[in-house]
Amino acid sequence: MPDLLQLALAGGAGASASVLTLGLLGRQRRRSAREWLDLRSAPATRSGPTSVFERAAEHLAALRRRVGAGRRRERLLGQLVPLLELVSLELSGGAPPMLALEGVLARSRSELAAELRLQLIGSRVAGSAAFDARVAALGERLGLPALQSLAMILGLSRDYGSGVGQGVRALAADLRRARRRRLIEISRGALNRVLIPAAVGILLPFLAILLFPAVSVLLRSFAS
Amino acid sequence: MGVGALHVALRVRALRLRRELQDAVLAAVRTLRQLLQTGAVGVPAGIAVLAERGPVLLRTEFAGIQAARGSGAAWAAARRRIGEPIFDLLAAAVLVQRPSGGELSPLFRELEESVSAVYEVEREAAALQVQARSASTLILCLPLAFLAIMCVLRSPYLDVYRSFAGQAFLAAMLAVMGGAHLLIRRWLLLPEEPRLELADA
Repeated sequence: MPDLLQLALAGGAGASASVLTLGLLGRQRRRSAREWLDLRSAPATRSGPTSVFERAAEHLAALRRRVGAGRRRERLLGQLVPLLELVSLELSGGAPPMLALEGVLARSRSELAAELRLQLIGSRVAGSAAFDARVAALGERLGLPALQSLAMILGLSRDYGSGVGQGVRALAADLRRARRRRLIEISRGALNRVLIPAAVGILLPFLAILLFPAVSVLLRSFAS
Repeated sequence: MGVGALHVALRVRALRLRRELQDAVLAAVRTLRQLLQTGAVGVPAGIAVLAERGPVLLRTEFAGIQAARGSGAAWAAARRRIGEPIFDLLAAAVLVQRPSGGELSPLFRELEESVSAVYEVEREAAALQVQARSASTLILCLPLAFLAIMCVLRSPYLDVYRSFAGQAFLAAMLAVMGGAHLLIRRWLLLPEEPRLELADA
């Protein structure tokens, strides 16, 4: 079975649909005549994928889930930066941390804001975990360490009265710097992204085009 | 070829316009920050100054916002037209600051520093991506040119491609090459900064 956590993180119906489709295709393999006729064989209780097709389908689905999860993580991280900047602006106006966060979340319609709003509402239910603990758990679930840092800043403010504004602003600046580093990393790797696929996807087919006439002549001469 | 050249020209023009807009937004943020730092000018007066003496590309937008007395709808319309994440943040910051107060100038200063650094890297990365894309196109075109020359010279070596099997093989290989080229172009796309979605949009 696909990892449900990763599936949820991938965020779209595409990944689950691909798992189901490929899984069904994998199961629709034709049974051999011997299998149909063999009345002694008990129905197999399969614990995992058996055929190569099913295994390939599961690997493909896992790959798609990983890619989807990575994309969603990047998208959410990108949405976190302006949210933090707006929270720091509200804080600089003298608003308490939770009120500042609430005000910004109420104005934002992003996916991350919706997730955080859910945590905020959940934290108000009697007996439930505090908002910072819920945000830390969300950060762990989504694979976003920045959310855990935010939770830590909020938790320290609640427990020790430390300032939130500076921490939030520093976190936003860190995230912008991280985006810059990521861009540098991508741009430095641009040539590798061209050379390897070009060697495999362009030069190999070209060699095949060049060699096809020679090979077909050879085959004909061997046949005659 | 003509369609391709037109596509490239339009792309280059769109990219140039986008960069001019990015620079204009950054300049607007810088000007507003400088005005707010003096302490003599508030946000509405700053917007009025931007409408009058701000970056040329954005003067009409700021004039529209000023005319609407900085209403959320005017900012939302401007955000839709400009379509830049930094302008989104500028709009959100002004709208958030209005009821709650807060210091805009430190936020704008940090925004200005970090965003100009990101733009610098982004443009350098874009230049490298263009080089890589050109390399990919060249790698694709050289074999095709070689095949075209062989065809023009009526080389008997390629006679096998006049049969059905040969043509099917050639089509399959060309499809693989085209697919690889498209895949490379897709991998070379730089990640875009997400837009800030606001409730008043």
